[in-house]
Amino acid sequence: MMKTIIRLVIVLGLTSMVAAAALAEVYTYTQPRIARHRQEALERAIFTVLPGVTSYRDTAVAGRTIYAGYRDGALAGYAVPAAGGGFQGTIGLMCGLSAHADTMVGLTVLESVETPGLGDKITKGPFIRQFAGLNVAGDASYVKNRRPNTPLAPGQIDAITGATISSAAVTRIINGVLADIRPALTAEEVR
Amino acid sequence: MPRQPVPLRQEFLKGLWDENPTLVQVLGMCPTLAVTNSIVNGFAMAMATGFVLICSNVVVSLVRKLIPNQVRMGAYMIIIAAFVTIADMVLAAQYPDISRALGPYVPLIVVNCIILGRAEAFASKNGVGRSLLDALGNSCGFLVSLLVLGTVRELIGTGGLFGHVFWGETVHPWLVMILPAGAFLTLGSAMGLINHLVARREAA
Repeated sequence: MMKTIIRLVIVLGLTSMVAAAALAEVYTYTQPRIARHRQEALERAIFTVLPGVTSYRDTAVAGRTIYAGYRDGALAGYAVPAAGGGFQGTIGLMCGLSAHADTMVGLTVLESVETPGLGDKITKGPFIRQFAGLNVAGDASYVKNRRPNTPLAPGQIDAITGATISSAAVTRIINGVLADIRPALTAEEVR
Repeated sequence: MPRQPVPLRQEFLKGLWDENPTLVQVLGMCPTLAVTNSIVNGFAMAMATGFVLICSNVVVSLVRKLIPNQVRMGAYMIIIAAFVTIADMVLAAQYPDISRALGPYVPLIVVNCIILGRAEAFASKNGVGRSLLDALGNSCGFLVSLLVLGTVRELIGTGGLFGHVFWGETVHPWLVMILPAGAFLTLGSAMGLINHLVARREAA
């Protein structure tokens, strides 16, 4: 009886040890590459949402890591990662803010599992471009069924037909993160 | 080989058609339905699963006489989980886009019943050579099913293949085909077709 148990323990222990050794080997090979892909994706997002920026530095504002972008040594804006619930899962955004934190200069979607063909239009140009130049001194909001000759209010975007929840989620996520960091950014500009 | 009158060729071919893991045995439905919304995703999933299936089948058949019967499931799971983790990490390191598209379905290969099924039903009772052929056959069968589903769904659901749209605006794509419902429609039709062919062959 005792002999059987010891045999079982040894077999499972050895199997686990061999598996762990193999995994450790693969991990040391793949981890630097995975980290580099993540870094590249982050930089791509920062340079997309802050057009014309040549370098960036990460800073901590209100307990969040945000990225201050510089053009020729002068502060040009902030890239702010934000995430929140969408229609089906998490929506991850990178928001580009002007140096005074009152206007958005760009937006890109880092992560989304919204419905293909409907909600996933939040990742496409026509929706995203609405955020370049959007006034966010106050809260951003969305409007549905806007008539063609009715102007948009400041901070307002057109929601996507058939994807109101996804459109609303994007403005809600932006408002949430801006409420967090706006006081700190306008009070003492991080330079 | 102990009492195996089956010719080697048959060990490979059975997984491809007669015992096709998805379309005939109806195993591994989770990845089959979830990631076949495009042909590239289906291909990558089949490659990752095939890698795990081949490696685990070979290793299980190599150690089958060393592993006591009482803990064989646990030992198989450790072996399978190790290969799945390797596949997941290598995919994330080499093909980050595909890895992001497949999301949690690569780690979920661990619970794919094709793999544990072949380990328990075949590799634990057969030699390395036959286990390798069996795994190759099943992997190819899985690949074929995923490619068929991926092709049909991407073609009808987006109006193109490999991300290129063929007939653009002239034919409006059926969006439902790349949504979960499309997976069930396509899989059901494929199974029905196979059953029909088999029934006709048996009647003849």
